[in-house]
Amino acid sequence: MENISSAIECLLFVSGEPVEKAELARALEVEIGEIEQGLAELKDALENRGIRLVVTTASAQLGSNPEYYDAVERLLSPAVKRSASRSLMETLSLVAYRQPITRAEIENIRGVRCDYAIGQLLRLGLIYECGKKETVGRPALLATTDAFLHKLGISSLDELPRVEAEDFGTV
Amino acid sequence: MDYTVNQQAFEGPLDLLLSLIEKAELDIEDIFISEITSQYLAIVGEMDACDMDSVSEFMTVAAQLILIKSRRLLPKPQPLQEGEIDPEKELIERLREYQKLKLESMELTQLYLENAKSVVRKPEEHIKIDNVYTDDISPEQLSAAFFEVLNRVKDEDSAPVARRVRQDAFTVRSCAKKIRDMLKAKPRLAFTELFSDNYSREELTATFLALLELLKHGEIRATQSRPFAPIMIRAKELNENDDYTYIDEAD
Repeated sequence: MENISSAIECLLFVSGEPVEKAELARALEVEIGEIEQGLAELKDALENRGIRLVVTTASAQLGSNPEYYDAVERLLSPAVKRSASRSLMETLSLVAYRQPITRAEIENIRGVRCDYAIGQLLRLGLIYECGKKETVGRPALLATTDAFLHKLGISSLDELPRVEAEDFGTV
Repeated sequence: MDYTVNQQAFEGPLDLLLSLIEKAELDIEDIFISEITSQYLAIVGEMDACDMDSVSEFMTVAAQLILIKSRRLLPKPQPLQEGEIDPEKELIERLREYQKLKLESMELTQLYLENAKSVVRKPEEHIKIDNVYTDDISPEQLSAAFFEVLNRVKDEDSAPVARRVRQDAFTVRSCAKKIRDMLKAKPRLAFTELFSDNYSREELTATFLALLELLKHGEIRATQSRPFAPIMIRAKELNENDDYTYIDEAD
């Protein structure tokens, strides 16, 4: 194909949602390696543009450049985004930073029950049960999903902001 | 102090304890030689005892604090039994852990809010895939794939033996949930990936029925790139909790 990155841009534009790399390869009838390369080219091409590309290991998605959010808001006044509650974010960060982790481990660190928060995060598709822990009762192990990465606009867990040890030595 | 205010302000006992330490500008290590314990107990004492669920969590930590305080009152503290965890060390460890979590949570929230400023489009509406089966996959192909898997199951001993009728280990509902969970983790699956390594006939049947249910309700799509290629299952619109009636559920 002549211009694979343009073709990918087109597919991502009409899809809106994250599209699997394998799906892109299937639709464009090329090898996955060409998709990877096309995505890299597209990412470069979209530098400093109104559209930005987020690529994770599994999928890719186009979104608007966060820099122009205020203007988007004035133009479309999108529905007010509910900011996630603290209990939700605390639970999510435990799964994000300590995955895989069990419900009991989360509750032990937070000191409160987390049924609601975990249920919400599962419903939102941000976390999933990735297996069972080989211990008494075989509790479910929780991990973050590909959708979680897109929600944060990062391409892998390595890009999570690190909290350094010295930051919490003393209060 | 009004408990309802506290309840909203604190995420739990550790959060309350940590904010008391912060307010007193203390190091976590110094918590036991300070007024923190009495302050904590005073606040817990004013909590609405009727709200057992959340108060009990605060009570557990209160009991721990009292235990630590009382041990300190003894002229010669009892040495720890073998395998017993030092309650002081444990609480300090938990507070440190929680403190780290708070910082991580703040970082994550910031990233989340920053990224929420990137607006994404809804999928183009005129690109609709209404067909349960796409052009290139027929019910016959799907059933052929099923029997292929079925044939791999060893034929059970046909000699008549006394059997116990067990409760179904696999229901269509539970298998449907399993497929949804798998698709959430990995949006595109090969048909054969749906089955565990040592599947039984029972699991096989329930999984296959669940697959058909999900196709029927438009939750998933099944595609095949060419004849005899592996059938791929993809999520379309997964339901979290279905209210379907399943064939294997007596009602």
